[in-house]
Amino acid sequence: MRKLIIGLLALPVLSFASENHLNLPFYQYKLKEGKGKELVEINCQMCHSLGYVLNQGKMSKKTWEHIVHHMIHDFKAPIDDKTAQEIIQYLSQNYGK
Amino acid sequence: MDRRKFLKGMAVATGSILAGKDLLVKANAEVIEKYPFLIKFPEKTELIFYSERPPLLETPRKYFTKAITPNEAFFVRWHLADIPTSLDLDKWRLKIHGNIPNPVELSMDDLKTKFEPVSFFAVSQCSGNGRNFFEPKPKGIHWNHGAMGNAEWVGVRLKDVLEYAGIKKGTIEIGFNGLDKAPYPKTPDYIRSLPIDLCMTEDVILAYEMNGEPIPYLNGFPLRLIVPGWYATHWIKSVTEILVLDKPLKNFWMEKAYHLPDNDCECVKPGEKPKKTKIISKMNVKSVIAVPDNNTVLKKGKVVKVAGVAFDYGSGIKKVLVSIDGGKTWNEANLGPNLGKYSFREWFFYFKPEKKGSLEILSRAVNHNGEMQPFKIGWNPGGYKWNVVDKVKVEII
Repeated sequence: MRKLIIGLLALPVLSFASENHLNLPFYQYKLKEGKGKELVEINCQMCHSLGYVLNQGKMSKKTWEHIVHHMIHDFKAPIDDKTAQEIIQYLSQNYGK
Repeated sequence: MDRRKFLKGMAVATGSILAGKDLLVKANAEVIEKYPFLIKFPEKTELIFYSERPPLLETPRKYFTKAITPNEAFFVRWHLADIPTSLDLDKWRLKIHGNIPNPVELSMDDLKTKFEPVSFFAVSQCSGNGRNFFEPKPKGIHWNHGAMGNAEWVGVRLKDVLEYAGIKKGTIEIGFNGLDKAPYPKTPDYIRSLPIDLCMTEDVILAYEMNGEPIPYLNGFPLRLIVPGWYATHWIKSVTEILVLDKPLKNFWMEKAYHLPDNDCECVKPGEKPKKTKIISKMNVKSVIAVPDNNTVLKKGKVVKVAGVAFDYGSGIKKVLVSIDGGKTWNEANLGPNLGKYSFREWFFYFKPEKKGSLEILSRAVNHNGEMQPFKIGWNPGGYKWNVVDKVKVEII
């Protein structure tokens, strides 16, 4: 009986605790098929959603280059030159203008 | 930390699995081929969606008929994806250190009892609000008008907190760090500083309440720096650390991000790199038409309400001019109640369309310093400070 009362007392606290935690949505965005797709999935999504990039509209190869280098130089993304080239190639081929 | 260790750590920490070359997959991830236009996040109503990690959500235009933006409709913009989503407020402390005699720690209770509470309405606007209207489009999120909102903030003066901590001579800047973190540890943390003179003014506050409620997590729970009149990049969310500095803060965010061309027009030719830059600071005068929206179909002879909000950096709105003939003639709009110099000011104007066909409605705010919205502005690489005369096109049938 005592245990039951303690249990009941604990309940509202527990439900408050779970309400107090935000469950943010998490999408797995399906990128277009193509060479380099996996590299984009692994490297870009490490730090941000794909929406952050793709919802900025289609971009020229020069702009994709700039963005990928910005991620490496300013945000310290651990991406080597060869991988960076493949990522730029994929993005400009599939999401370029 | 090397990358492999980092990824492994992240996979464990977030309950994700990392299988070979596959991407990080969260157990509850929904597979989608197209991002939704509108989304409902926890704490929020349906907002315009850009990104879930970090959350980037825009307030739909219709909300700007009202001077106060409800918390659930208030825009969301974080830079780094690991944002606070739960917090034990009893354990939370605001830590102040640097050029002071001894480091200081304040609980939320301390903030609420040791200092005089102050409150005012102030507009929070993203530097890139309206970026989508620039041509060509600068890089960055294509915000329309909705990366802004107006709320009543309650908190304590930063100045009082700094005086309590006892800032020493030689202090030139105050730095602010929030609870948000980058998923990758080498990414520069979002830490910004402001000049000491600004920090010692009456109106810069550390707010713990927004529109009568604790600040939502997505807008910077439990404490947010409010720098009224200045762009929201300076309004550090979930502030937990205050650095009293005797040297300028140097990091990516201070040296490179949120910079404008340092010339009279704050502009360059599209695509050009500015020779000299400066950190963005005060907002400019602006009005936005909330209703009617673009492409609304209206009936000839039936009265139409044009309404929106106007604001500036703190001189206050003197008048809002409305044109219903594409800018040939202008009428003074009615202004709503004055909620303070940093607040949105509601405005509205009624007219009866007499002719069928398409019609351009324009709005132009004028502030107490005589500054008014321009008909065009120069381009800048960040797509910042858009404040051109607002315009919607409607159809009269």
